Amino acid sequence: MAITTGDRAAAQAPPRPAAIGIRDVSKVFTRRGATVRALEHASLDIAPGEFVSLIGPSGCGKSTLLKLIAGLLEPSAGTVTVDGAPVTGPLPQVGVAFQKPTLLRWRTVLDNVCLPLVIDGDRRPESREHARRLLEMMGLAGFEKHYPREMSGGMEQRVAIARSLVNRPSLLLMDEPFGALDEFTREDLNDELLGVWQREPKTVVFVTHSISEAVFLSDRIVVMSARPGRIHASLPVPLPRPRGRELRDDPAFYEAIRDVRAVLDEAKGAGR
Amino acid sequence: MKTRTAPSGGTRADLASLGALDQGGAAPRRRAEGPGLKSAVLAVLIFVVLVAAWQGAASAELVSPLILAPPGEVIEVLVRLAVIDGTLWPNLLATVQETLLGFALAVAAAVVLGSVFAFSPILRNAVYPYILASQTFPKVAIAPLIVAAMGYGLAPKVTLAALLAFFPVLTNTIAGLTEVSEDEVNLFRALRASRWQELRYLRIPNALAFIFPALNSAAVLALIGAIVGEFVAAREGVGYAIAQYTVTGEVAATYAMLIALSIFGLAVYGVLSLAERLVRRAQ
Ligand SMILES: Nc1ncnc2c1ncn2[C@@H]1O[C@H](COP(=O)(O)OP(=O)(O)OP(=O)(O)O)[C@@H](O)[C@H]1O
Ligand SMILES: [Mg+2]
Repeated sequence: MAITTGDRAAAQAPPRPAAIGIRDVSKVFTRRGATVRALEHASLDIAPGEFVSLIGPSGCGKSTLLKLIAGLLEPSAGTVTVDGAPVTGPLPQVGVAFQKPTLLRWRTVLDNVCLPLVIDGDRRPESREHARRLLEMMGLAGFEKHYPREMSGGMEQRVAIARSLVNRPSLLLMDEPFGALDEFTREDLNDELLGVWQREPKTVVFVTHSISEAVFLSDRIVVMSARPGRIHASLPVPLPRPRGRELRDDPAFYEAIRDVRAVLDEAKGAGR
Repeated sequence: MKTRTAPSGGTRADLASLGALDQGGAAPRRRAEGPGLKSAVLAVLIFVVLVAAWQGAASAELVSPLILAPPGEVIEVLVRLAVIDGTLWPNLLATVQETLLGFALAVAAAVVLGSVFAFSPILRNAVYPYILASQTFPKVAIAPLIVAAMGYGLAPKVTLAALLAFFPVLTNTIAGLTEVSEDEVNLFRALRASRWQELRYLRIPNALAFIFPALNSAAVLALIGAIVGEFVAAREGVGYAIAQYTVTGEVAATYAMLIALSIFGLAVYGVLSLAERLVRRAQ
């Protein structure tokens, strides 16, 4: 099964990957009088084309940070910039995969993947064909006409990932996209995601709970701590690219995992 | 370009499980024929038992013949009313007309008003309490008032039908347009959808799933409204006919009218189901 999404992407000259700047950003939620400091004094720079993973205990503000970059939330303090311009709302050329698949139950799988195209007014048959290939890449060939209720949780997640990729975003924000998948499928899709990232250069911010996944995919791992949510450490991953599945048997891979785990344990301690 | 050389065991296992799921999807459909057939047999059986019980109760005069007519006589009268003297038709037609007009009016008003309420929380909060209060008294109680105000013609029946049918459609329209999840709204925001696109691709399809079930109860309520209106004062209609037959002691004719009404009800149900399927497909 050869996946050829590269040629057309090159022909279309997708916009250059985006740079992200997070300057002293805090986010406070107030709900029924109670305030939650979801994020406090977070600063982070992400270079164009960089693959960055966010990792940290539940409730440390990973999804919040992602939504701030997506322009879906406004910071309580500080600024978020994309390519130097402050984010005031959702930007074009950003693909988002939420923690929940959020498929529209009255649309078929293929029509769900095509939703961003419909919203963009892109009715070209080749775009629809691209959506079909993404589904194939996600291991969902033959499921185009199914409805979300006929899919398992992991399959729904894969549909949502295909949807986030369909308009070839230059910035991809993914919130635990492979959380509901078994280890084998997850590794397969990690390979596919790296493939897409190499073919169509883009900046990726990737939230995960899996240390090995973060190490395998990322240029850099940002470790966060909870209550209040803070950025605890930023760890470059010293593994060469391109990375293939043989890397998973490499001692260097395990060493990197061990290092990240040590920092994560430290961050969990800091949260208490 | 990336080529998948050796498909991993994981992929194969995954694809196999997907295949299994596909079969799993088909299997219940195949099995469904069994229960489908059994249900049909059971339904016929229930019908036979009910008619037998009805016949038995009538012949044994367990219930006074002034209240219960035997099924054979009812069918006989139904045939007479429908075919021989044809008096069924003007009455049924009048009731059907009142019901459908009231239903259409109610649905149109409820969908329009419901949409306005859905998008204007200020207006909703201001007006909704009154609409809610109007629901707490039984509207059939004001049927005589409405007839007194509007006369003996079509208008009071249509009004009653519409009043009764209005509320379920209104509440479900509001619910359908507003009850979308935060994630769904965020998805559309992230895609930079316009308000119209959010309506077209999220809120309206979501609302349809709420509105169609409400249409069924609205149709039944419209029929009740029309019949009650006819009870109060009318020159024709099923309610009028039933009131007459009760006075003249033609019990079987009353039952014949009820059977005609339920056939009409089934037809409405069928048309609504068909409409729902067509709209779903059009999406
Ligand atoms: N809309 C909201 N209103 C109020 N509080 C919120 C809201 N969104 C998030 N929070 C709170 O902010 C904190 C951080 O939430 P967030 O979803 O960013 O965590 P997370 O790191 O993504 O956790 P998880 O790994 O469980 O997904 C939590 O304490 C959460 O309760
Ligand atoms: Mg989260």
